[in-house]
Parts: sequence; structure tokens; C-alpha cells
Amino acid sequence: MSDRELNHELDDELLSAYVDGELTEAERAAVEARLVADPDAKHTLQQLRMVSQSVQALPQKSIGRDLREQILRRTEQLKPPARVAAATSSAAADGTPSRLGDTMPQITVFRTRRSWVWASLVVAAGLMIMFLQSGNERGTNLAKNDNGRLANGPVETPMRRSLGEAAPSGAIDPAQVANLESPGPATTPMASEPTGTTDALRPGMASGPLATSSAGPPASAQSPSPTSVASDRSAFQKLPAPASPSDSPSKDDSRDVAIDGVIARGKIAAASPAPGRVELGAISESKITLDSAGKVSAGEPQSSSAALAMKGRAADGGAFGRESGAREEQLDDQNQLVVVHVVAKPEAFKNKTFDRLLVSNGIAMESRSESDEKSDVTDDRLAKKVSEAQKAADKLADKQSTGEQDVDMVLVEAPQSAILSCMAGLRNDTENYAGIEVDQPPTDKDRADTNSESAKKAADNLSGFSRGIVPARQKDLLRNQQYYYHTNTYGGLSNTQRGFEGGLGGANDALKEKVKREPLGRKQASVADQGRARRFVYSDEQSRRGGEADVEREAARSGAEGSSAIAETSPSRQDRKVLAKEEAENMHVLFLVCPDSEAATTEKATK
Amino acid sequence: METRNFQRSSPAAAAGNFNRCPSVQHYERSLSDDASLIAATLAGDTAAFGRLVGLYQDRLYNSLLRVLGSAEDAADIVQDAFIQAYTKLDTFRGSSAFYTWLYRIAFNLAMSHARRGHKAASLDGMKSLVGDEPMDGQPTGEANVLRQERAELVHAALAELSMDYRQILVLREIDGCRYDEIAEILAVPVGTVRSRLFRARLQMRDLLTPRLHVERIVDTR
Repeated sequence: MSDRELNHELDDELLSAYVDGELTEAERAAVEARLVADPDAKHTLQQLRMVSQSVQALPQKSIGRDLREQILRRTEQLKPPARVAAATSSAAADGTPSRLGDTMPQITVFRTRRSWVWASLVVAAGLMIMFLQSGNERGTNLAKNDNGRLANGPVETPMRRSLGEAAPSGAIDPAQVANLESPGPATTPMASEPTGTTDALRPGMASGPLATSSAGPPASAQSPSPTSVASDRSAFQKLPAPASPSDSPSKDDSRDVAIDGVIARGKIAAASPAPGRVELGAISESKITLDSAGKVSAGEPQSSSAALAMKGRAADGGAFGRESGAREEQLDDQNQLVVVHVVAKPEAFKNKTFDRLLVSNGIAMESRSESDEKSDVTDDRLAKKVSEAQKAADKLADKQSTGEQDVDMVLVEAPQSAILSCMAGLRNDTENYAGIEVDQPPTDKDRADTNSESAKKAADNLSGFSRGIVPARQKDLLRNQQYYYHTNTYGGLSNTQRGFEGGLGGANDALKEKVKREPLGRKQASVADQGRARRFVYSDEQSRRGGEADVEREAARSGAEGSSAIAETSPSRQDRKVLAKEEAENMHVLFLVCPDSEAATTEKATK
Repeated sequence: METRNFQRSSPAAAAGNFNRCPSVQHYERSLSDDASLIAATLAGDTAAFGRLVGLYQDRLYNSLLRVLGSAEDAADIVQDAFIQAYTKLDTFRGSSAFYTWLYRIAFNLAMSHARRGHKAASLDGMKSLVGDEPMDGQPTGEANVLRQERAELVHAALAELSMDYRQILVLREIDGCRYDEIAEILAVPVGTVRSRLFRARLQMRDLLTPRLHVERIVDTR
């Protein structure tokens, strides 16, 4: 779609709002001026009014009976709302399952500072519980517990439960909690995080791997000394290995060592870092690995961090690096990613056109080296993003393993200008992309588990680039909205029911065991790059064979070739105005690219 | 608690360009009325909650019916929504209208319901939904039949939209919600409401235009 057509669409959008009286004075004046001069606009307005009036003319239907009696009868079986929270918390303290154990309890807990302290202690307790576990098998057994009830002893409850699933009730040993305070920094990030994945932690819940990973790296750490960095990394590695025949005992061992290392921070230096490799959940039989083409820099943290302190600078062969501490402090704590759904034409999906778009906007595709033995961590804000993306990848793995959906999931960290430029490129490239839609994070009204304003603002900034239609099926793959009420909380649904109901709260238990966190490595800064991208999920056959390296090389090679094509889809004047206004801060966006199934079907039919 | 008249207004409305659903008017209530019922419920007066049910059940049902296309599903979701609202009433902060909060619960449930594979009712089923209740002041007889047929066409077109588009059209055209209210209910920015509503209308236009054209041809024979 050309700029002219896009502007035309935006102007027609104003016509729709004009029908509803939802324009500012200036906008209304502009529309009325246009209506005078443009007969097509008048025609469009008439059509929009016709639609509006047609729907309004649908007859009103009454339910035909009074539901009050029925509803009140059902509410008699429930405790009154004012007393529900107290009952739940007392049940949690007793260690007995709450009557409303399937609900999202203790939503009010995060309204007060005291609640945050409690939440921090809960997370710390969860960390201790996880560290004391004797490995994956135990975690597996515990994870299989039904109904979210805690088994005897420590329980590994995945973080995604906290996002809206049935919250297990159980006792938290105050003694354990007190002991956990000594590691200290593990609790600090939680106390300072009013939003994001930790929001939904409830008293009585053990925090899961993601809480661990997000809690691990202390937010206050500015200079990554080897000890602290290694501890951060090891905190990030706590997740159990996938139940895969390819897993080697050595990986478990290194992970165990790393886990132990976190408890005693002084011993971290001795822990051998895990190999720089990640195996993402069960994406068919062949594991998708973030591959090893480039060399991973094993450079010293100090020099790397200095280089990486450049805003948005990427490095090759490793993970996202650490940004300047000052900028970290300035930025809101965004644990929620902005998710952008992209529908690519089948050919574009197959040819990884999206990668070329990223590269052309100065965003390097990350590749990892399996030989990276000394990976360090990172930026904790980014670690949280990565963990969010990893969670999403877990959920997608199930879909992919059954062949239900091809999907390409890429996490991008780049300055806002680069992101906006990519979005403009996507929007303008109608030849390769059939639809774009920005998923919106939930608002914080009437919700205790509030999210960050900056996440909403970021999504809002990008929403103007939406166009076309993204199939509901694709959006359902990764529903970023966390609905206030999860269906597990009501309606007699089984606690084991999983899916994408209510957003991120519906993961498959089996996937928990398949997640292995990748130690985030360091890269040499590349002056030419503005940002970096990491692929989490990818189902393309070619990519399975070649891995990240091939794609990155191809993208780099075709970057020059495609530059002229990209130039044709460069930001319009309007987009440039937008770009100019934006602050130059890194954004994190998770792109979910799926092939256009309708186009694919048509292609097959015509062949 | 903020008390404000629920009367909708906007500069454009004052200019007479605001196209509101007439059935919306009787839904307007003072926030303070709902607030007092909520407070009474929290104090243990379940009858107060019953009054809230009585106030909103039909409106909610009507909207859900258009979204889900099934009377039975709509009734179930209405009940579920009220039950959840009752359960979580202590978490309602009052920063938005109660019905906005209730609608959000209900639409979330509807979305989940749809994702579980409960598709919109068949076209035949919809014919029973377009109703035999003439709107006030409408003529009876042949005009009524024509109106009913048109309603069937519109409802069928509505069923072909995606859930996102259907929800937003229902909230705007049938419930008469403002953009900011829709944004709250659907948990999206106002900009998204505007663009999504526009695209939904375009799609409805594309679905309705040929059908209404056929209808016009039939009418003129």
C-alpha cells in the first residue's frame, strides 16, 4: 500500500469516528472540509453510516426471564466478596486448599506496599524451594500434581500459573522465608517491580522458574563483576531441562552447580557456566537451537559492558548485552512485551523476508556459539523480556509439534526509532505482508495486577501501524492480554485444562519440563547495528537444517540487495515525524510472524 | 467516589453529528446508584446485588447474543459474568462504571468461550434471534417482515466478522459505548478502538452491500 493509500485509509478512519462524534474540534473541521471537497469521502461516510444504522436497527432481545433468583442462589454457595479474600488468605496460611483455590486469589495483595514485601518473601521462598530440589525428575513429579496443590515439600510452580491459572495454595514456612532473606538481592528486584510477571504472585504460591530468572539479576548491579554476573547468569539457568533424549547429564550437572552457586554467592566464580546453547521446547523432534555460527565473545565483562553501554548497540555471537545502568533506572520496569502479530505471504515467510527487514533497519539477528563457555548476564530488564518470550515459545511449541501452525517468533531489542522504522516497513510492504496487528497489554483499571504504563504507551505508539487482518487463530497463539478473569476460576472447568484461555495463563504443564534457559552471553559491539533480534521459535524446514547462522548470513547478504526494495517502503513523511518525536530508548517487541494461511490455501488450489 | 451524570456528550454530539443508538438512553444511570448497590452487597446485602443483576441482565444479554450468536450461550455467559462479578466485587475499584467492569468480565468470558470452539450459531439459528419484537413506533405487516429480513442479513453479516470486530461493533452500535468505554472493556487503547471499529465497519459494508443490493432488487419486483 502506498503512502497515499495509507493516508487515505487514515483519513477514512476519521470518517468513521466522525459518524460517532468522537473527533476533536480540529479533526472534525478537517473532515468537514474534506467532505465538501471530496465526493468519494461523502460516499464512504454514507456507507459507514449505513452500516452503523443497520446494526443499531437490530431488535433488542431480552433474556426472557429474571436471572436474579438463579444467580443469587448460586452466590449463596459462595462467600460474600468482602469476606472472600480473608478466607482465602487464611486457607493459604493453613496449607489447606482454598475453597476458591482455582480463582485468582489475593488480587488485592498488591495494592499495598506491605503486600509487595509479602510478595517478595514469597518469591524468595520459591527460590529457596527450587534450589533445594534435587533436579528435574522431582520437579516433573511435582509439576504433575493435580489441582495446583502443593505436594509435601518444595513445589516448583511455574510462573505462568501466577499469571492467571489456578493458584496453588500451600503453606509457606516462615522460617524458610526468614532464611531466604539472607541472599538478599534475590528479593530486591521483586520489591521494586510493581508490574509484570511477578505481579500475579500470590501468597501461598511458590514462584517458578520465571520468577527465579527475573528475580535473579539484581537490579542494582551496575558493574558486572565476574562473581555477580555469574550469579546472575546462574540464576537465569535454573529452569529444568527439557525432557529430551538429547539432554546430557553434563548439562544437568552444570546447572545444578550453578543453582547451588546462587545460594552461596561467594562461590559463584567456581561454577562453570553452562554451554552457550539453548534448546527451546518441543518444537517437533528436531530441536530448534539458537545456533552457533558466529563466535561468542568471551570477553571480559568490563570491556564488553562498556561497549554494550552504547544505546542499542548489538554485538555478534552472543546475547543481548547490558545497557547503561543510568538508562535502566530511567526506564520503566517492563516485564510485558509488546507483541506484534504479522501475517506474511507464504513466499515471504519461507524466504525470511522479515529478517531482511530487521537487518535493513540495523537490527542484527543474534546467533549463538555452542562453544560459549563463559557467557555472562545481562541486563535484568532484558532478561525478563527474554523470559517472557521464552514462556511464549513454550506455548507455541505445543502447537508446532502437532503441525498446527507455522510460526516465527522473534524478540527484538532496538531503539524506538528502529522499531518504528521496522513497523513502517511492515505496514508499507503489502506485497509481502498481509496483516499487522499490535497486541495490546491489558490496562490497569480495575485490576490489581497492574502493568506498566510504558508497555501500554509502547503498544499504543505501534498500534497506528496496524493494517489488514490478522486471523484470530494467530492472535490466539499468543494472547498477550491477560484477562482479568481466567476461565479456570469459574464454570466448573478442570484445573488441568490448558490452552490459551485468558492469555498467558494457560500453558501446557508438559512444556514446563522442556524449557531450558539460555545463558545470555556477551557480544562485541557492532557500531553499524542499532538493535538486535533473537529468534525463539521457528518452524521453517530450511531453518531447522541451517539454524540461525544461515539466516543471518542470508539476511546480511540480501540486506544490500534488498536495500533498494526497502527504500521503496521507507517511512513516509508522516512516519518520519513520528520517528523524530520518539525518545531514543530501546524497545522490546516480540514479533510473531505466521504465513498467510488463506494465501497458502489459494496457492495450493491453483497449483 | 466520583459521582457524575452518565449522560454522554461530546462536541460533535452537541453539533448533532453524534449517531447514537436510541435504545442506549434508558441505560444511563448515575454512578453513585451503582456504587451504593455495590457497597450494600459488600456489606452483605445480596439483594442489592440482585438489583444490579436486574439492571444489567437484559442489556448484557442483548450484547452477548449479538457477539455469540447463540441465545443459550449468551444466557450462560451472562450468568457466569454476574457470578464472577459477585465473587470479585471487592476488587472493583470504582474508577470506571460498574457496567464497564461487568462488560469486561463478560466479554472476556465470551472470548474464551469462542476460543474453545463454540462458533457463532448457524444462519438458521440466527433467524430466531432477529426477533419478532417490533421496535417502538415501527409499522407492522409487510414493513415488519422486510425489517426482519434485513435484520437477518445484518445478523448474518455480523456473524461472519472476527470476534474482535464483532465485539467492537456490538459495543459501539448496540450498547452505544463511547470509545473510551470500549477501550476499557476491551482493554485496548482508544486509537485501536477507532481503527478497529473503522475496519469492522468496512468489512460489514463489504458483506452487507451485495446482500442489501439483492434485497433492493427483490423489493422492486
